[in-house]
Amino acid sequence: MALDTSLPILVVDDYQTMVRIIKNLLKQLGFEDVDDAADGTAALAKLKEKKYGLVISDWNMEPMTGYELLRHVRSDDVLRSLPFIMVTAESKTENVIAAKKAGVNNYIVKPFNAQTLKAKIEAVVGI
Amino acid sequence: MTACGGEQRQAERPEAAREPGGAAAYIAELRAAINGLGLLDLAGRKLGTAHLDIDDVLGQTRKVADVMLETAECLLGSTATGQAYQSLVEERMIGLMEASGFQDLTGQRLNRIVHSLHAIEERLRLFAAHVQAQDGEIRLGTHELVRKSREVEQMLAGPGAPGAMTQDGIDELIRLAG
Repeated sequence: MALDTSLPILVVDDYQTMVRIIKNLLKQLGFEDVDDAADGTAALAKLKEKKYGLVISDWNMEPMTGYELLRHVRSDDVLRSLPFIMVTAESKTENVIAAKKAGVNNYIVKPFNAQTLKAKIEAVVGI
Repeated sequence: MTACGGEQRQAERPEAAREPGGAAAYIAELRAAINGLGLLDLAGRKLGTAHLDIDDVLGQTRKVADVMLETAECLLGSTATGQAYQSLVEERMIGLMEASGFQDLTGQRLNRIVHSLHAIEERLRLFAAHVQAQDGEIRLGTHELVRKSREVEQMLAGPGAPGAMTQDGIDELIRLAG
């Protein structure tokens, strides 16, 4: 499966080291148009400003969590179909089910490797 | 009313407190047990420094993560070749080895936190045994209340506990959920 590396991606995580890791991995996969936001509120503002093709978001953030961001995105007429991958340390069954019910496209558990990230992106936005 | 309330309180006290003159002795003993907790020491030297130690550990690990990322970014983005690239790699590897020393510092800090937690646990256990404590309705502080409500409403429970679902398990769950 191929990837459209011109796809603009928004990485949402309040831990700058993780943002940097994900951005570096995306760069290795060929993605150049990658922005970041430190929490759900900041992410929503960026999503209103620019048309993104994929959101990769952490779950645990303050004040707006990734789960709340996902729900906002899915209830927004313009953003509702935006591909959304949750990258999180939250691996409890009920969390995964809640995220799936809220409309997440895929779910990656930390710690993860480049291969897993690539596979999940391909599964969600592969062409 | 007052007599009834008094009788009830009396009934809740241990045997010694119900004997003549026992109340005063019980209060003195309770006070000694409370003083034995070393509350000021716990709040100041144990918990107080634990916050500082944890902050320091976070800072140290962040610095090392930065060094590792800078190294990876530098080497992956380098256009140097041959001897120049080898020198660059050697220089950066030495930087990584130097940064690895953080484990010694954070290890010492974490050890101190672990000792403090053990000390707190032990003192609380001794105190609980001394006063024959039984848990009633637990009064939560503001921080705990906020945390608890977020855990319930948003499942903000922190990193998964050992034994939590694996990536394969999650993939299967996502597939089944359609």
